[in-house]
Amino acid sequence: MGEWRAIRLIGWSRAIVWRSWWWVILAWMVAALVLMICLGWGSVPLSPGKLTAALIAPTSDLGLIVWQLRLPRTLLGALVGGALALSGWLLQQIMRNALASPDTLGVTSGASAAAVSYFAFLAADFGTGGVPLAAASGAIVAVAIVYLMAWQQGATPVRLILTGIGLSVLMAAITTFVLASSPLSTTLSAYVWLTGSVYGGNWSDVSRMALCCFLGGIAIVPLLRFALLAPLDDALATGIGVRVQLTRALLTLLAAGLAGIAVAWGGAMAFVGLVAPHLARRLIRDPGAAQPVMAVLVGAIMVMMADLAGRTLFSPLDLPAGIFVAAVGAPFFLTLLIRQAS
Amino acid sequence: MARISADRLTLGYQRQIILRELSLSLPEGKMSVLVGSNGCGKSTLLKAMARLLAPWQGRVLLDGKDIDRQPTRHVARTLSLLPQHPVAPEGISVRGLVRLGRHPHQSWLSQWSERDEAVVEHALALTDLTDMAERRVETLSGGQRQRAWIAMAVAQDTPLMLLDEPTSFLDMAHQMEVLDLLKRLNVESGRTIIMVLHDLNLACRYADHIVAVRNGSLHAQGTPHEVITREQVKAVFQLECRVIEDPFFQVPLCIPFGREAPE
Repeated sequence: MGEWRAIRLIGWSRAIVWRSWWWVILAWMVAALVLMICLGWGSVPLSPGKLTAALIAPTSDLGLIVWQLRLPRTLLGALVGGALALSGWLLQQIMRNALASPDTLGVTSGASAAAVSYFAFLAADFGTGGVPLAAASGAIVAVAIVYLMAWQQGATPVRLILTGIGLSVLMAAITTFVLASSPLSTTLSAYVWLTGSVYGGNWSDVSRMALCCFLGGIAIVPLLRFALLAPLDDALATGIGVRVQLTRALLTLLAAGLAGIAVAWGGAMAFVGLVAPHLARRLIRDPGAAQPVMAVLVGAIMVMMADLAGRTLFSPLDLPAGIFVAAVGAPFFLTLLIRQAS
Repeated sequence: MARISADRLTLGYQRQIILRELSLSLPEGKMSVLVGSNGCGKSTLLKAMARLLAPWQGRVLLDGKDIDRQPTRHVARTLSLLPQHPVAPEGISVRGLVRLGRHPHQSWLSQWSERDEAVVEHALALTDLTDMAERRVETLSGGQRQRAWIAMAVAQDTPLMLLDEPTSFLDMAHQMEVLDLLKRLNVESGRTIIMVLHDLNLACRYADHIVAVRNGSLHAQGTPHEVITREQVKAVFQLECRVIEDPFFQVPLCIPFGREAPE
């Protein structure tokens, strides 16, 4: 029976492509390894032995560094990367376009405009704790506007993309205007946020973000098979009994929500949402459930490594991870494209 | 008794009206072919019968009930559809594509039952694709790809199959191959097949029932002998021709003249 193995238990059944899942297991191991490196490496380097000791004793000095500084920050990075990657994968499926990403639908630009406005007008009174909320609401509002404007007896992928690009430009203009007309201190903190950073991530951030990701994860379970069918054209999908407009709207909402929470805590490093799903598709060609899982892992690994580079390469400077996501991701992405063309 | 019929159907896109008050019922267990010149509305009619296009007025009845008021999944177990230019998900294997046809029979729990597997393997065997089942769809030739799409429709296991120009872009040998396959499905498992074809002679050869559409209304319908006559071809296609009896298959054979008729 070729590449597929059938797994059947009473009423439950799935067709599994083992080869894809081997890749996923490998990616899990790489992710765990990267996590360990992130915990061990920094201004106070830890050998594997010391790291183990620190992990066992959370209240020791080294334990505090690992448990209170490095672990929450790294986990936050992993969650941000994973959520962005899943959002990008979903959007590429829904829009049937390899260039779709959380940027395309105005998600990140909407979040950025909202977050920067918050920095400029509200942060002085309410503190920066409200930034995630502002960013997440900006993302959802932007997608809602795009969807409404693209709607003509249903929303087609092309209209969604074009409307999204149009709205993104407008949002970028708002962001720049607010940045340019604010005092320098505001501009600086807003700018770091815009580049994308998990600096100062603590356990309360991680737990709130993890809760959001968990809810997103639950939402995708029933929707996954429709996400896998989304690249079919509307006529075929209707033909096999898919409610095209309903599933498209639900999947878009889910993708926007995931990108929104990722941007809320990690800033605008949405490039992950473009590259990670691409890489996952490269590694796992079979368009099955293993692909999105792989995308999540690739995204998590990318952001963890970028954040590690940001805080160690130019130490004592602590640079935003977004710089390294772009600096390493972009050449990598271009190489892939060039190799694909030849 | 007809399972699918159109009841005073008026259809259009945006503001343009395409079909006007068309009523039609297609015989069960037969092969019906819609013919007509480009833009006459035959593809639009097929789309409406597959609930892809909501009618402006009138309705399409499937088993006596309005097709737009039945759950789409339920309809998908009765009626399958192959559109004119289907797009496959990137990287999908032939077996993966054929499996998509099982969607209306699956649920969240059951996504690859023994029955799914048996039907998919049967569809692959029927379309002669078993050896190519692991290949990716984009590596197939045009004829093989069309067979894969038909296999997907076969796997959907519906008593009615609608196909929009299943032979377009295929060479003559592959056109015959596809039509032979559809005829087999019709004869061996009694499926009702409704399709749009451009080639009148192939339509005569394979159809039990021909429907000629002209300018958004029904011009004629019946057996090939009843519909394909010199006068009707001229009326429907604005084409001079002669119709003779095919010496091998005893169906009408249309010889088109074009602008210059022979003496």
